[in-house]
Amino acid sequence: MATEQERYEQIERYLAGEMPEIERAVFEIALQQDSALAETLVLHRSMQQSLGNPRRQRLLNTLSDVVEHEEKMPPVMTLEWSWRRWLTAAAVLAMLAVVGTWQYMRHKSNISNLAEQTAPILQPSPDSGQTATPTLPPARPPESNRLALTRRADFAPNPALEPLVGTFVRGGNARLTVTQPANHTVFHFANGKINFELAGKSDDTATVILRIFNNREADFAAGKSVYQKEIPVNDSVFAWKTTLKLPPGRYYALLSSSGEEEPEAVLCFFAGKDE
Amino acid sequence: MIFKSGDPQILDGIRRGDRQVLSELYREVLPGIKRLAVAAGLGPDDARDVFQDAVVVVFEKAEQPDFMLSSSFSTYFYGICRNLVGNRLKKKANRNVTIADDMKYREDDNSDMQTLLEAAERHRLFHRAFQQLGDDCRRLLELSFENTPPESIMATLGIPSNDYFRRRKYLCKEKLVQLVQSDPAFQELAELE
Repeated sequence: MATEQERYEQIERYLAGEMPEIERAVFEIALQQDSALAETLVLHRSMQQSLGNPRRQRLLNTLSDVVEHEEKMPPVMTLEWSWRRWLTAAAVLAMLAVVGTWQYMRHKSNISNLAEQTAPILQPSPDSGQTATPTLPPARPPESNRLALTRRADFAPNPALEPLVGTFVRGGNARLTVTQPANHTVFHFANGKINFELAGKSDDTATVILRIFNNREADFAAGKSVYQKEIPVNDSVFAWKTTLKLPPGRYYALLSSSGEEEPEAVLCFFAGKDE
Repeated sequence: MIFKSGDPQILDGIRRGDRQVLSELYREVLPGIKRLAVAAGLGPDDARDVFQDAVVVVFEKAEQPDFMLSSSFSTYFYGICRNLVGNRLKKKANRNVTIADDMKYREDDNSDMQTLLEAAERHRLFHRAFQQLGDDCRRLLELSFENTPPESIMATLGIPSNDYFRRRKYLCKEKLVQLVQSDPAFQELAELE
């Protein structure tokens, strides 16, 4: 009776076509009578065909590496951009350019006005020949609605997220909707924190992932959220309340179904007074 | 985005096993595959397997001399993924699953697609088992499966005698067979055939 090693070598010679005719005929009869031998032959043939293709093996090696490497990377938001989104993005950028220019011109004008008003006014004494002595006008307080440069930056839109605000699920299959908060809600501080309340509906998912980002594009690209929470969905409804300690600024709440990387709803809100 | 680079570039990248092309393709398509998998009741691991199998299917098809894309690459690729998701459902549920017509990838009647789909899963199973072998066994079997003459293998690996070589080869192959047969995917594939 052949040993296991001899059987393996017999299978190899049969698959390689190196078996003499009589031995091959005997072997094929054995294959018909012994199902275990036949199964072993099928397996060895499959392994030979699969592992004997070096190009395919190299592809599989690379694929394994790619999957392992990409899974270790922080998630990157990949967003499908339809022509509507491009149009919206272009309109937003144009509007920002107009607003930005207007603010700049206004700022320049204010500086000129201030410069004029601080210039000394020469008021010669009416009944003397003396040289007029300059009299400084009383100082004007700075405009109450002027934002400091740093604070203005905290409220500027995030170029990557702003075009998506108010959109829900690509493809038109709306599975997730948000009823609260409304877009562009301003949350006022209470003891240095805001009371954030979220509510909505979601089908076909047990949890909803909430991620809040600030308005800095670099932080968003790096996946650095300021808050993240997995919220349970019960009977297709989800609701969540929390207090958040956030610096004043513009923020974006992204919601996605569990297991999804792409957001299905994007909302913009503000923390602090809107000036 | 990789789909903007053009279908021929993607196909060429897959043929060459270009790491950058595969990485970009992975980032681009995996969210969509995950949605398909989750909608079918499968998990993220299934999505990653489906991605790898789909790339292998494209690789095999692209090697055929008369291969021509009859749709965009993304449509073709997602169609393959839908079929792979259907196959995985059959295995996990251990029952016949009818894939809805709009989920199936439609190709010519004489398509070998189903054969390639099943083969892709087998390739990944064997590859996974193969990677678990020690370096010496992997190298020996790699050369052997590529039909390198035994004398060359012995010279390359410094194996002193033919008897020792035969014994080593048998032990390495036996180990590989055990790894394959103990993989849960092996049983699932066997049940389908």
